Amino acid sequence: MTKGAVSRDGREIAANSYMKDVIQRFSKHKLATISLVVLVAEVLLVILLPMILKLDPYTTDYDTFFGAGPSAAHWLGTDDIGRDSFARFLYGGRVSLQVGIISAVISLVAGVPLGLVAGYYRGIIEMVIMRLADIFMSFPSMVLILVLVSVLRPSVSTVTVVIGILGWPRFARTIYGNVLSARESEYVEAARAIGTKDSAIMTRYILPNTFAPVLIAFTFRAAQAIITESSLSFLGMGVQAPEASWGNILYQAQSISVLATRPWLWMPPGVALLITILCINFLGDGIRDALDTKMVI
Amino acid sequence: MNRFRYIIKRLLIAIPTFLGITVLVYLLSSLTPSSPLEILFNDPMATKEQMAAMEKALGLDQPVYIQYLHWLGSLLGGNLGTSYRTGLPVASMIADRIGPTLILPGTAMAITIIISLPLGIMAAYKPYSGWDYISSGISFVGVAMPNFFAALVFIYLFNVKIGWFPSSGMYDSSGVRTWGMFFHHLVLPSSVLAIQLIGSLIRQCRGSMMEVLQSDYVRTARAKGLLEPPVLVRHALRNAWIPLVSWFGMQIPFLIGGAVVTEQIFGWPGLGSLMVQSINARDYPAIMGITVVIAIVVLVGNLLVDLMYNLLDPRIRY
Repeated sequence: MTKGAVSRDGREIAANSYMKDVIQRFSKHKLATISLVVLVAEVLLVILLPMILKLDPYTTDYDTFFGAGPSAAHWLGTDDIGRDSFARFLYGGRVSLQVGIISAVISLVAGVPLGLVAGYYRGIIEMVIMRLADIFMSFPSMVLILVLVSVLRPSVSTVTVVIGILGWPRFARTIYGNVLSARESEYVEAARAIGTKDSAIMTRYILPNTFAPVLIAFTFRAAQAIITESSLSFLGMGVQAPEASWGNILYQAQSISVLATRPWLWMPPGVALLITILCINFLGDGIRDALDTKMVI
Repeated sequence: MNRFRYIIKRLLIAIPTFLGITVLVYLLSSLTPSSPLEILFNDPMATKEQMAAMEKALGLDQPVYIQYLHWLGSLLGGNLGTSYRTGLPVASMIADRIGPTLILPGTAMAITIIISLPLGIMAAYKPYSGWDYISSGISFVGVAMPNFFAALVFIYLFNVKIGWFPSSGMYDSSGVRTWGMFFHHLVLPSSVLAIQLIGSLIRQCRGSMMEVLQSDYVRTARAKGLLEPPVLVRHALRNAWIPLVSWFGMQIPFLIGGAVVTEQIFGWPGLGSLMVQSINARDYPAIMGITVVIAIVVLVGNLLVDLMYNLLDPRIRY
């Protein structure tokens, strides 16, 4: 709708841009708004707090007992080799969030072109790509990731890349469904009629129209990637010491003595994980409601 | 007749999928930086001749695709090779563990259905009521709960703090094995595995019940003067089942992936914990065997779900 449009009975219609509509609908979803605030705060905290407090997650403090309880110097105590647990908690948060986001970007970059091509060209390409997506989705990716990580050396980057690449089917499927309907639309037909190249039709006409579902898939995939990374690290096959991640801090709690006597060590990263996933899921719901233009409010 | 043809078609689709997975698994394991020779023959004194003889004995001197076909051939004959770690046949190691590995997700699924269906139906029956908010809350937290963290919290609360349930293994170390003891050990791991499923099923159930409750046949049933319970159970739930069955199918990979972590934490002697041990030991024959068996379990599971779908919804024609 353009500015200053006039309805049939002569009243002026509020000139709302699409983005304004979206933001308005999003802010009606209270849980999603709160979640967005929490997530932004969390990102800022894990980035800024270690700098402000000059925390060091790698160096042993010989002035306290190893495995000491919370104190003024070490808010969450120290771990088994005397490193500051609070610092490790914050640095771990950085790694966990980073792995989640970057691997979801990798999944998107891998999956979107495949789904686009499959939906646009159909035929044999469609069959091969979508069948592969089915196979990947029906097989427990955790098992595949474990095998892959065992072949490659586990590290932050291998874990990110492996989780990222194995996440392609979700994006391919999401975009595939949308392309199937978009390719039959009048605007695509019109573009084809004036001789627009296939690549241009796909990237300039179809792709922008799949923005909403891809963004939603992205949020859910990021949440899933964070869970996968932390599960792997918890099993000792993800992020490796001395590097910290929420999952590998929890790894220490596999020892029953740590679990039983030092909850301040493993509770914070676990609760942080839970809150993060919860917020990302609410955020995804909020975005879905806000971008779904067919929905009547 | 139609159903029979459908089953055949599904089976024919499952075969290339299975072969695809075997190729993938084989390629992955042949990419390993350390060759099986180095692992098996961890002896610096070994001469070149001894190494070559060993290589030949293992068939490692042949091209990869020949090795793959050999492996596939013996696989189909039920021979999964010998574990590097234990020296036992992989097939018998897996056979020992397949039972426990199926019981865990099976029990988790049962717990999920018992808890989620009533909650989901109640929520759909009275949307935006107190019940709805409670079950939505449970569902959101359940879905977001990483299952290893749930496991730690459960062990901390129910084992360390109040000591109701054991936290490890299938039986205690006394050597006596009873069913009671078995179920006692099953409680924590299966509840942990159920948490995410409960969250997701409540949501799914609420959604599909809401849709069905608005349908014409439910209105007709009510108009006939039927009581609410039969309307809910016989008219609504029967139709709401159909999307729930496909939900069930989609959970199979998650159940097995989740079981890997859960088994490892609770020392449950299933395929998942065997997988973790094998990976730690770089025991490739075992890793490959387990992956292939998991693939079979998943394919059979999906096939059964498809059949159930077909039985429940006669409208589906293929």
